[in-house]
Amino acid sequence: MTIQQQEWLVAGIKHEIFMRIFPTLRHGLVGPISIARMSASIVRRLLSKGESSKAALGEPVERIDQQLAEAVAGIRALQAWEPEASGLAIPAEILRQGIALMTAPLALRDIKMDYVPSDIQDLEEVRQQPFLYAWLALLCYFEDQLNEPATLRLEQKEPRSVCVEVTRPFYDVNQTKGRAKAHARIIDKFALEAVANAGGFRLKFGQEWASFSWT
Amino acid sequence: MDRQVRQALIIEDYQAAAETFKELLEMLGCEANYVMAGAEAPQALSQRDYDVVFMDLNLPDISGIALVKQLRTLAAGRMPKFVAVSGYAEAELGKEASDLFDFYLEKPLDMNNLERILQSF
Repeated sequence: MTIQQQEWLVAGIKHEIFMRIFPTLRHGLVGPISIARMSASIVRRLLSKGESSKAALGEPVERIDQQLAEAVAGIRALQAWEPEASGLAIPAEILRQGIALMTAPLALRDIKMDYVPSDIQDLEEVRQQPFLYAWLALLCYFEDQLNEPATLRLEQKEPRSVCVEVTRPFYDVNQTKGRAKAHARIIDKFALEAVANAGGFRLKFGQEWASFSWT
Repeated sequence: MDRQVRQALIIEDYQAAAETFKELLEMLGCEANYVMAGAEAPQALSQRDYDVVFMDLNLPDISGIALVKQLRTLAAGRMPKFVAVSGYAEAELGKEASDLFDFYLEKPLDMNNLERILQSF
């Protein structure tokens, strides 16, 4: 495979990963806009009742302002996904970001995540985007491998490494129920390794676990 | 249903959203309460005969789908209407979610849709 082919391959896998978390990104932006819109409806109703005092309108108007500011911050934060983004962040922050982005897609497939807080202080910043894509790829990999309810135990057992371990409930009343429709494009071991290698990360696989390491 | 005042329960983990939604429902003639975690919902539901439960599907402690299944089992007597509230499009949530809820309300909330839901039962 030529370097250019390899780059296209990785770009395609990243696109698939991005599409999986895109609804969560959009959901995050819709939240403050939703509150602003509800507050605007409250203002409109107060005005229609002839209530225009500062005491009545002050709070909902202030809330609209705050929520719009939050929406703008969220829109600006999308910059982190642009191809040329070169932002830095500490690994623990990126791990948490990935977990937040994958919570809803995994929940739709009856997969929970249990992030075990770590005493390891890894404060050296890394490039956010490649790290986040590799981390998301690992979570997507488990999403596609698991076909029954499970919990992913996420733990930083050693510096510069995070381990994802599958734990299964002894009994789950939903086990016989059909699961959400599988993705058409699967993030398999090959796809995961392609994204991780492109970012310079290392992976190790075990029976029911995988670990992800950075330098 | 003859009752004028709807008893509404909101399950929403983001306080600003819960409070604003409560205020809005009260303006629309409901008596509304909210809880901010799925774990608090069963007790809240057992304390009052709610007509309608508005549930954010993206709760931190339990998925909306698991929670509505649990609440439907608990509300064995008079069953409230369950309304899924989400920033996700209905199609993204899958058929199971659609089947479990009586109504779906997409964020940002549309007042006409909200009023239509409240008038429909």
